[in-house]
Amino acid sequence: MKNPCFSRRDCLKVLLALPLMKISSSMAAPSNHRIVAINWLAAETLLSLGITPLAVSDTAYFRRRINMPALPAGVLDVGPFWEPNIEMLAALKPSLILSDFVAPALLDNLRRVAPVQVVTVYPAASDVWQSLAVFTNQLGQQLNVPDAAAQVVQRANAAIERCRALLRANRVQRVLVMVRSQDGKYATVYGRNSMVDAVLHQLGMTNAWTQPVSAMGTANVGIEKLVSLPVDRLLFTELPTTLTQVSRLRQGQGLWQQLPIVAQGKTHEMSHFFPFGGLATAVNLAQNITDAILGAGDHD
Amino acid sequence: MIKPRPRYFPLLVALPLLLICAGLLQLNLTRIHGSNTLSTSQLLLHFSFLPRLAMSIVAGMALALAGLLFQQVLRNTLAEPATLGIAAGANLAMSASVILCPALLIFGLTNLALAGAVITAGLLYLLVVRQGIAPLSVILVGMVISLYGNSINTVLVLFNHDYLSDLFSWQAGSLSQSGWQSVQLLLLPVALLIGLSLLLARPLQLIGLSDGSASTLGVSVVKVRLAALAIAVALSALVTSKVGIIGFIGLAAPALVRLSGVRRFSRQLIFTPLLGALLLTAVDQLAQFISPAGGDLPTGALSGLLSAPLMLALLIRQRNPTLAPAPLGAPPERKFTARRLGWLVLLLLAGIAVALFLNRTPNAAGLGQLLEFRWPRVLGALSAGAMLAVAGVLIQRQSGNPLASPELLGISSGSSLLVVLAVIIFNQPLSQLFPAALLGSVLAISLLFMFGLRSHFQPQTMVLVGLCLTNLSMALSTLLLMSGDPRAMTLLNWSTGSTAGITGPRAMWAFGQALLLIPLALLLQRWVTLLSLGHTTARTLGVGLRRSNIVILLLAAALTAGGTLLIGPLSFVGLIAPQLARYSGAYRFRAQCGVSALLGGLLMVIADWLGRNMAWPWPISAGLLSALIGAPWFLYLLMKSGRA
Repeated sequence: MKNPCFSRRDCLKVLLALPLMKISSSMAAPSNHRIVAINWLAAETLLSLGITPLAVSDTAYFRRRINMPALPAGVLDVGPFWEPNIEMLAALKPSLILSDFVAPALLDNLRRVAPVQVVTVYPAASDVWQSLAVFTNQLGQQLNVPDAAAQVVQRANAAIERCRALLRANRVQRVLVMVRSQDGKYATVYGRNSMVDAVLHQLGMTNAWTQPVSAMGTANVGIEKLVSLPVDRLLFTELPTTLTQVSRLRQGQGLWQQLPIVAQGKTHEMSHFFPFGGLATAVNLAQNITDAILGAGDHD
Repeated sequence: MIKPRPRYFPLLVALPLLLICAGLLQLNLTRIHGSNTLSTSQLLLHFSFLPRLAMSIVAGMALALAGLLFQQVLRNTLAEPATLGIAAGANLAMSASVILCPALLIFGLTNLALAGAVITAGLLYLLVVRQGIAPLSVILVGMVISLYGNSINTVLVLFNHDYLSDLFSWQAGSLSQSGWQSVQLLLLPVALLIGLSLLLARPLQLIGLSDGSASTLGVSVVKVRLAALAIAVALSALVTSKVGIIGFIGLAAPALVRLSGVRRFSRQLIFTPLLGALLLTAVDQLAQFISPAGGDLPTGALSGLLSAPLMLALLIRQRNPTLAPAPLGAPPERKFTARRLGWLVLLLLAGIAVALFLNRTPNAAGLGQLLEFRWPRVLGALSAGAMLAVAGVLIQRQSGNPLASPELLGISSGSSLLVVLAVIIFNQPLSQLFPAALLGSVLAISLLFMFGLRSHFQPQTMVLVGLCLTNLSMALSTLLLMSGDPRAMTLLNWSTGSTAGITGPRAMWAFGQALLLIPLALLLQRWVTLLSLGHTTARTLGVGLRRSNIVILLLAAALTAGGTLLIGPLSFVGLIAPQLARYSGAYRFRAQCGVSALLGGLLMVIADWLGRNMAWPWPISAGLLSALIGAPWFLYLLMKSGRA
């Protein structure tokens, strides 16, 4: 028998919609103007969603490492991520704190100031690209901007698709992305479940580094480990610090220049990236990688 | 007199080393050949393996020779670039100029390192010259300078954490090479300096006897000393600028040469660099061999781990009958009156009030809510300072040594060592680590007691044992930081003495601990007073030596563990507060305990307050701040005690 007015399905729909209605009307979702992001991934994602965080940890360095999306000038600095200034946070009266995994005692303190959400994308247990999309969507849902979040994810996918299309003609397979240490003797490489690895897969290439890495998905290895690594393209960058100049004083680049991959001219410098960033950083990285490989194609 | 060793004894030392070295070399070589094609293995051989081997040989020779020269001139088997603080000075000069003043880099890193080393050596000389360059105080001052330099380095790293991995791999002493440039740069100066030192062989040998006999034989003692020291300082700076701080070699090579029965200095001068080269090669090959696949084990950290036990072994062998324990000093003329006590209590209350209410805060701050976060830190700092201060009094009284303190004797380091291990292995939060901290400090104290019995509780030997423990824990934490463990940052922050992690319950627990343990210390008055009259007197007056010593030291261990867990191992408050108390006239044990506790609490409250406000909203750790004041204070005390 069929109920003429409401089907069971309709009832369920209403029930499902109920919490959403409440949030939008009476229950006051966390005010999007009073969010503190101690975790940089969260800060970056907030900016992508069009929400300016009230305060971010270590703003000066944030601006140097992540320039897209740009952090507006008015955002306050709450100190380093391992010891955010709790008194300042308390005075700011945030509606939500997006935190790193800090020491438990500090976390307790943060919880007394505002609801705390620990961002756990890194260290990644599974595919970083997927986790970043999920994180962005979740944050969008939570902050009542699901459309913006969906748009960010969609735009990121589209950007990746464009890069992949550009790269299709270029049959580059194994790519190594590394950060050269400032004295030129070490390289930080990114292995399984790192953002670099995920981006390379999204672009239809493979990560040349398949050896063990630390819990955070990185490994700091001597340059000599790269000698016999099977690589088609090597993309390197350096941290934007003054020490880079020192390196030239301290150590020649004998082995670097002798690396087979370097000698064959298959290396390209690219601009630096923050390896634990969000979708925007990942897209930037993808574009950097694409530019580096294509720009090089002209010279070949 | 030690009986002469058989002639083949040097071979007995050198041969196994040579075999180990050759074996490891062979293994590492097969690894290269095994995992690479012919052309790439050639490449690796020429641009990485051989330069590294050459570097370890050259650096090993330089370090061993520097150690030998320092030891001969200072007549001290414990002297080497790392223990004298010369390497730390060179290193600090480099990293400070890189971070703070990049313009200086036009002079070149080697010259900066040289300048740092020379300044450190000058400072060292100024600080110890009044005591007639007594062997152990030279080392003592050197190691405190070294600790001080390293803690400044830690501040630099904390505030510039983008440099973190690079600065650490640099400081930890890495021999990794990617070309011949460094070796080429190092080879000529080192060869030159070795040649120069050979010219000094004869006069140096005479100086080794005694200044008097040397000058009667027509040697200008001052000139020869200066020349030899200059060579040694230059060698240390050169090596440090290329490969960072590497301890152990300068200590071990001369010791092994002496141990193998080479008595004449001119022969030591030849054998020591050779053995040094062999040793560093062996350590470096070992580091390469056991390096994990995802990283690189720094040679300096490995040699740091090896050097602590060696230094302890050398300390056991060393006999210094000439050194009298430093006197406690006559009772000062001032008396600690009730009025002074009143002032002190008032000052403490004022300090607490300032720390609670007078702070840089954002505008819209509700005081009640801010106090909620502030009082645990203030109370925790207060309790930690008081506990460490009383521990300092106990240890100074027990050992009759005004230089003793939980920090300098390594008791704090012992407990922090176990705390770090417990965090890494069992993944426990800091608030639950009192048992580990206590175990660590008890272990450190038992070690000290063991060494103390052998050396008749000679003050400076005890401090050296403590500094060895401190070095050991530093080497371990370097390794931890290099491992890229995400907990490393938190631990680094704790070990510099941040009070941010002190929650309300922890502060209450610490305050309760202080309230329980400090009165217990007061109860020990009879034992402590009698013991400070000397062990024989105490025994004739009916004090059970063993029992009383153990009880006093156990109490000191508990106090230290409590304090260290709150503000880290490097605060120096246990050194300063008792000294200040005595200086202000609290000479009797109970008065000293009480006044020290008040002063220690006051000091830490002030340090915590400064740390919270100086770089606001960034924090500066209270423990680090008090160490930055405490270490110079200690050096000043040492200088003054020499003048008397």
